[in-house]
Amino acid sequence: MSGSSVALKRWVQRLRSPDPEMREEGIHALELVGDTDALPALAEIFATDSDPALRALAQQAGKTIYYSAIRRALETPGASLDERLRAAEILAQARSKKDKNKRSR
Amino acid sequence: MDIFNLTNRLRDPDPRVRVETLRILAMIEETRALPAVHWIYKHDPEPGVRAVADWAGDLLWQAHKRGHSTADAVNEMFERSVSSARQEQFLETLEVDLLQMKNIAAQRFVAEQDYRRKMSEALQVPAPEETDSFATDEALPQLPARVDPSTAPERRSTDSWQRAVDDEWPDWIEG
Repeated sequence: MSGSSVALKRWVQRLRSPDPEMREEGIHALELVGDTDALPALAEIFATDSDPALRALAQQAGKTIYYSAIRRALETPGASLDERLRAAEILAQARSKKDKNKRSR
Repeated sequence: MDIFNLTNRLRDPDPRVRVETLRILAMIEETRALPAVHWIYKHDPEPGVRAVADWAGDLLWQAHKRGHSTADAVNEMFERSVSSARQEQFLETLEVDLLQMKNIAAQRFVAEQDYRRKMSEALQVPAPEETDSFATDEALPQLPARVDPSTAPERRSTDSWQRAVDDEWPDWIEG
């Protein structure tokens, strides 16, 4: 298990604390970590926590993580030149194989 | 978690995964998932999952009715412009000691998250003494509406979200 997933697990466990302050601390920490793997735990708080303020806080954190992940994905640069060249080679090989099969029928 | 395939998780054979996904979709107000949630509400074999779909669909329909969209929310969260004086004011209040963090990417991410959270809170509940300075930022777009903490996440609408979704996405539902 990686260091980040251990940290994530620790904060997620904090969400299960009977102490609302501990749960609040866990929500803030998960928002800062920004890992989308925290979404299920935050969604559980949003759906079931007895404290309405914590439910709203979990929703805000969940949205922030989700929107940040979308933004990061949009910012990811496209394939590099090498990757595109490799993809072109694979496509050409597949096309050639397909044509060969067609001719052999 | 692959956030771009959340609706595919609604097809998971494990009902717990379907419930978890419905809760996530409701939390993040992903209104594009309304037709899929509606389908689950109508066709899922588990009554418990259908009940959660009913709850999630109602919340998503409320968000849809007030004009919420993920694309707009992302834009509003990241693209708004703020005066440099205001930015400095918020940077001074950051709770995290960035100098203690060695990783530059982590510094940037933490600062960004903390800054955005503070900005979001301040824009929604301006302190009385800051009213004048906010007037200089009139061009700021409104933040996505938050769910009222006193009512979330219980159902609030009295109309039938199921019928409304049927009317709005008839092809999707029938297909």
